[in-house]
Amino acid sequence: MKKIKQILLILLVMILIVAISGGVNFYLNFANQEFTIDPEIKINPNQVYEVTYWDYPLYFGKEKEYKSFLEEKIIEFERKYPNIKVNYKLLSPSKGRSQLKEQLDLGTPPDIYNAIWGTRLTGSKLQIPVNLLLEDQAIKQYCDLGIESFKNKKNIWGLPQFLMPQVWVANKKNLEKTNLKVAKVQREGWNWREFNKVAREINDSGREKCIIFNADNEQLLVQLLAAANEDFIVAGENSFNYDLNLVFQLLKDLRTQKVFPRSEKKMAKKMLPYFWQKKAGFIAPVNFWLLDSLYQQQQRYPEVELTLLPIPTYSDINELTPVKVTGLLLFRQQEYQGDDHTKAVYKFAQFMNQKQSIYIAKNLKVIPAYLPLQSKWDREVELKLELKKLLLNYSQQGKYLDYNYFSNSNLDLLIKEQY
Amino acid sequence: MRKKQLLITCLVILFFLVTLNRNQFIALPVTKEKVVSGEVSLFIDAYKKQLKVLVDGKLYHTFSVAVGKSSTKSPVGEWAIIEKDANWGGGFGDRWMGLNVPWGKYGIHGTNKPYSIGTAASHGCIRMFNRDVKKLYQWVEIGTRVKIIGTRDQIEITHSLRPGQVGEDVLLLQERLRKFGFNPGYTDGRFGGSTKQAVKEFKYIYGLKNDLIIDQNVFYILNLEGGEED
Repeated sequence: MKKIKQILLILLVMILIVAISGGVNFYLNFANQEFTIDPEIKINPNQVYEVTYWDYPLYFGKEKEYKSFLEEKIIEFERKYPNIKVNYKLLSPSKGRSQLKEQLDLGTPPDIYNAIWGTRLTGSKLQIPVNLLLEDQAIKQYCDLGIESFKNKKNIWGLPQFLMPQVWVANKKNLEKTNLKVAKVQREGWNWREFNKVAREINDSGREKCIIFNADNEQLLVQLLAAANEDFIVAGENSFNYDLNLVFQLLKDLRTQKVFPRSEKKMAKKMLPYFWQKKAGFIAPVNFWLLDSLYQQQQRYPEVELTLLPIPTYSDINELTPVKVTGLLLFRQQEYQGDDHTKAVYKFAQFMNQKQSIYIAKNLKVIPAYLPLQSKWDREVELKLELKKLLLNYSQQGKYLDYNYFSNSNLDLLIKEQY
Repeated sequence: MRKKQLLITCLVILFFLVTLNRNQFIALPVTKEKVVSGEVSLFIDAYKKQLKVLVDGKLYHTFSVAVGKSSTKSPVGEWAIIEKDANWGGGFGDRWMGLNVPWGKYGIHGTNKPYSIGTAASHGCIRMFNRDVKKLYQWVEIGTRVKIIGTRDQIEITHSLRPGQVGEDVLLLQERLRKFGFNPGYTDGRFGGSTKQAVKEFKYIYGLKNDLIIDQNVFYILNLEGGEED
């Protein structure tokens, strides 16, 4: 009986050892292992690869043209790589992110996703870091800001595509009636005190002259927070209350000075009419679709001279302009299709990133993140020389602006209440 | 004598039958046209005064029609047949197919003025020869899509637009949304589900207030400046 007990004990100890060592082995080998790709892997010329690409109709108003462009480029790519077949899908801007999330949850995301809207994904589930495929030399072809914006835990999580400097739109004629040195501000930046003063001067320059903030757009809050705290981008949640209070104080100051239109609650609705009617000296925030629309509207209102100013900062130190960066993200599926498939995916992503980059950049007047294309953009984009130079300068001197903090709906609500 | 009476009776009956048929109180069987298979849609070109029948998007038949006069133009837009009636008669000819135009009663019908076909002569309806309208009547169903192109009077937008509204201003909005790359559904002058979705996307993209009201900001972006400020 005692012997049986001893044998059982030995067996139990052995099972325990096997289980523990197995667990440790699994943890060391799999659970804690980062996803890697064999850097030497080659595309098998005898195998057909299917690549899925999810994109958005980025150039609104010319969807058919954009589709033709995409299809033309896909044909061009498939001619170059006959064994890689590309299937693309254009998503709805308001539903695309949830569609991606659904597919991620199912473990079947697209191979490539154009991350132009919403919260940035860096290191999310099933995401492939592009530095596993991007050679050092190729990384240097992208502007530092673009690469930095996709960095997280030493990895680069996307191929940067466009740079969108965050600027405020001003009516130059309204500014002429103030003491603001526009060129100096555009060169060196400015602070909130200077902005307050200019806002007052605009308001004093005539009946109904004002500045307009579109509080319905959360981008305004991001920009004001960036103005309030240079470190807010990397700051933790704890610094948020202080930053928010500061932002509310900035807004309160403006309100006290009565620089907004009289019916302040409805001012967002007056943004464009007041701007073109020369009543609003500043309008903000303006995203790149709206900005492109303003460039086009400008042709109908030649008497209004549109210019772009950096966002004023709270401190006296001149800050860099916040820049939004977009790019292509790579994903693998739960049932991994192999390193050679990933390589095929990367080939297409790299090809499309550059082709799309210059096409959209020229049409939407955003800056390509791929450096060799910037001079082409400068030469070919149809935009007033002054604005072109401003956009290039702002993006070259910019810092990456992250929107990640603004997925908190309670916070959004709080901010809207404060407005 | 009896033979004479019978002949007279027959003649009287025949006379009544002919007269009644002319007035369409009796619907004599119409020669059956071949039934088209596939999705039928109508394309009315008010410039050319033509009605084209498309089956699965391909041209199947072309009819000459009369369209609205310059003072009462035919409604340009994308409509649907919402009623069919074989017993209208008079100026409306042998058949009537009503359209879902929200600001008036418009339709495709026959005529008692066949000489007007090929001209701009109607109050906005689409007139056809009676023999043609009978053919067409058999090819279309309730719900058949009808697109009308042509000139129209300038539409002025005088106020902001909201879901549920109908009118030419809504139709203009729908056309502009489509031109700007959004999908408002049919340009039928109704601010309904598809238009709401298009407006939602439009406002999202341009960073405007997340509601469905078409205000001045939207008008400016769509090059539709006008309307009073709220």
